Amino acid sequence: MAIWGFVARNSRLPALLLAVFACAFAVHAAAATPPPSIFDLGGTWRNQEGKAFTWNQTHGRYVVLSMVYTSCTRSCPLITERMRSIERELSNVHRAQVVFILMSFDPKRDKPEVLARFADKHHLDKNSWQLLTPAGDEARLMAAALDFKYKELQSGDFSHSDQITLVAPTGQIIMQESDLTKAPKSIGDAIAKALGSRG
Amino acid sequence: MHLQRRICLEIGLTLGLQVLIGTPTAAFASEMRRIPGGSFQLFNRESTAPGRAAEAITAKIAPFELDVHAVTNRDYLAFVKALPKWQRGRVPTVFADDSYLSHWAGTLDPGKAAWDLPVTNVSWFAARAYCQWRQERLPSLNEWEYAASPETFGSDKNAVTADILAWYSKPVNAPTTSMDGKNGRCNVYGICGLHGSIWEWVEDYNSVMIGGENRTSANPDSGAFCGAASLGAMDPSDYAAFMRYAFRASLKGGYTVGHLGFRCAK
Repeated sequence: MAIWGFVARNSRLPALLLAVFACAFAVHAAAATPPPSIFDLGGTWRNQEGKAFTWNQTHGRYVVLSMVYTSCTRSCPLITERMRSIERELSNVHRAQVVFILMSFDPKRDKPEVLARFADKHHLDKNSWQLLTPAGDEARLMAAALDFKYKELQSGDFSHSDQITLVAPTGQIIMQESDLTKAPKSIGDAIAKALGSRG
Repeated sequence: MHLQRRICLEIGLTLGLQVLIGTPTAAFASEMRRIPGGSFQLFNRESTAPGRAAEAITAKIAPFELDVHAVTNRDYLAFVKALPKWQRGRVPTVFADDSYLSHWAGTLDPGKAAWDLPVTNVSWFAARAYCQWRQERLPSLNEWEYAASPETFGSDKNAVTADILAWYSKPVNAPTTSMDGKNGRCNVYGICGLHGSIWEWVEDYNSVMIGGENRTSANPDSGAFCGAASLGAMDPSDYAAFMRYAFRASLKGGYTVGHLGFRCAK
């Protein structure tokens, strides 16, 4: 095809593609600004009881969060179970200082009662789990802040990242786990380290 | 109340209210053109049901309006004057990183040279906030690609694509130039500068997932994306479009980048 001939002859293009990526990344490599806080995003989320959720309800706890949709049959149950195993492996004292949050990007289907059924199905303790659904476009903003990708397909199903994020009590991202095929990075270890001898 | 006085009062209240709550008056209204609705073949193949192989998908685009020109530094100055929380130095870092408006001479001074050029070094959050201030929105990815597809520039798709690729292969530091003419080439809809000037934010930039060698892979599934097999390989025949998708996949919402700006839709 003519286009591929053009590409092959023009050796600057692969370099350009690299430059395009490098441009986006390099500018941000050495910045020393206050780290971003997802608590600054604002917006309205409701939990599985239909109540409005605000970040001060985490009461200074660490947050382990993921974005999901409950109709997901593939990886979202795996993500939830991985978060459950993080929860189980924490000591009692540490567990009391962590809240686990699932945020839906499918408000059309994930109404509070649907979230409540999902919580029951996965035996999620309501004292340490919050399942949230957005009022409007909050999911697109949260995804942007988390570097989480999602796309609604023409079929109504979704394609999305697999990602678990550890957030500090003040809203900064500490670490993220992104690939379910790899052995889990230690979010639990990071929590234990952060909480130190208090556990 | 006397009719004339009432009209004056209502106009005065409307303008006064707009000034008070910071929405633009007619003086800042952007020039927009209507894009008629139509069908559009999506760049990615998609699976239509669980377990089914990905196939080429046609989506319907409803009619919408799009800015004739990208938002300029002059336009953006009006915005940050009306909403000071969006001035450089005042924006929480989750919304924009520290290169935000770094090309401006001062917090309220784009510099004379930049006045009528597209504003750049603005994050996705900032671009959205600007469009919302105009009671508009960013275009969706599909809307932008539909409005900017090579067919809208003429009948020779390969020639148009070659022109776009030629612009993409200019050094990143080259001054903002246009593909054809001073203000950037305009297409059949009367929308100008979609190519050859800046890259542009879209509302769902983060719907692009690239894992592995998607251009040719029949099996793009990777552990990092759920549903990657549903999404399917991209169409390799439009290399210029592939570069735009690759660029979007590399972006984060708070990134501010030279040569990345935006226009609004409604």
